Amino acid sequence: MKKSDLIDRYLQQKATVGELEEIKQLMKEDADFKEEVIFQLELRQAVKITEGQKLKQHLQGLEQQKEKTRLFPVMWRAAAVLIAGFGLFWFFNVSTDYEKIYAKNFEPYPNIVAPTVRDSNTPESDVKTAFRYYDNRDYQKAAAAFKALFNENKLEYANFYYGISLMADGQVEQAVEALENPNWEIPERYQNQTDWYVALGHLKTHNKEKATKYLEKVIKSDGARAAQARKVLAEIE
Amino acid sequence: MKKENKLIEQIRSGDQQAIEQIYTLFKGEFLVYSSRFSVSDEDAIDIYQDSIVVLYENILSGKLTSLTSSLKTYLFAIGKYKIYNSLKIKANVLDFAEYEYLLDGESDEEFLLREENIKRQQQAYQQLGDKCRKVIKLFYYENLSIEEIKARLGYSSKDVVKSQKSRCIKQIREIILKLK
Repeated sequence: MKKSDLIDRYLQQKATVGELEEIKQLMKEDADFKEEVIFQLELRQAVKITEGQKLKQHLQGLEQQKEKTRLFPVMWRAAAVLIAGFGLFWFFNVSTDYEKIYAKNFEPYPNIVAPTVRDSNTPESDVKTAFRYYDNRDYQKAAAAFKALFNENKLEYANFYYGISLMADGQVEQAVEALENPNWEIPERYQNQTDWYVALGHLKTHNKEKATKYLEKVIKSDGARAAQARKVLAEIE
Repeated sequence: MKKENKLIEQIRSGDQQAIEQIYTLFKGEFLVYSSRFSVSDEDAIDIYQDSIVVLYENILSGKLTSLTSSLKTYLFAIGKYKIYNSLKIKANVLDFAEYEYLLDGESDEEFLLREENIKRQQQAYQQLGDKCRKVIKLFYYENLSIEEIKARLGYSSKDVVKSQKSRCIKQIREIILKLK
């Protein structure tokens, strides 16, 4: 039997008595074999701890959910629905359709980096991790990861994705702040896109004046978003 | 009993909801049971959750395949053991039984290093891509054979699973090197 198969059987407690003897012998004689076994035992332990914690967190989540529903009797729930209903009704009628325009136009910028990035100064895994979160729409984690890449690894484009992640996560004000960061040297290919997203951000926070300013900038540049910007500008004016 | 064995079967085939069902099924009774000891409700829930995790792992690892007593008895035995443990001292109960056999004659210091390694392995495991994490989880946590992994993930042959698994282990080694 191949050594790797032997290790597999041992790790899954499927080894026979004879095989266990063989393993014991190899552990004594073959340092590489021993290293491999220990490495995989550690891995098994690591996976067990990680998955165990995940399951426990899941159970804790169930517990909290139940707690919340228990503390929230039916009548109050009904009342809350009514209040929320009236609130939404009021909101959509009073506000200009900024919210609608934002919702219609905002979509996270596609990941155009991860498949091609090769940056010798940065551990590739960090970049990949960040984009994995981003592609999986886990925007909160993505935001944190991109922020670190920007601050610590000085990857300029990371700030762009940091901003978009925040925006996709609903943290629009923070997103605008990040994208307007004066210390950020915007890579040229992101300039236009950044202006576009900042315009949307201001729209969402009902700052018509600033939204208009950025939209006009996008239109003037005559880039990819110009037509879309022209349309939005017409709608808010 | 038939229903309980079915639940166990479901868990073995990767159904997460079955463990939630078990959790909800016995929680109330366990809290009543644990109130006999001087354990607060909060601690009792914590212990109960840990016991469910152990039950889950015993089912996956094949330690528990079919029941000789009821599921409840089995689960409560784990819980009782944990309550006793918690009353004495709140220690982190990690299962190091195999290590003693493997590390026979090594110093305490080296033993500590291993715990460091496990932490690094945890970090590496979490950084893996989805594909690798799945294979690694199924093999090391759910204790599935290469054949079963092939069927579960729809690989074309056992050899593909094997080489995928060793690629993933290699990736873990690489991540760990970077972490050091």
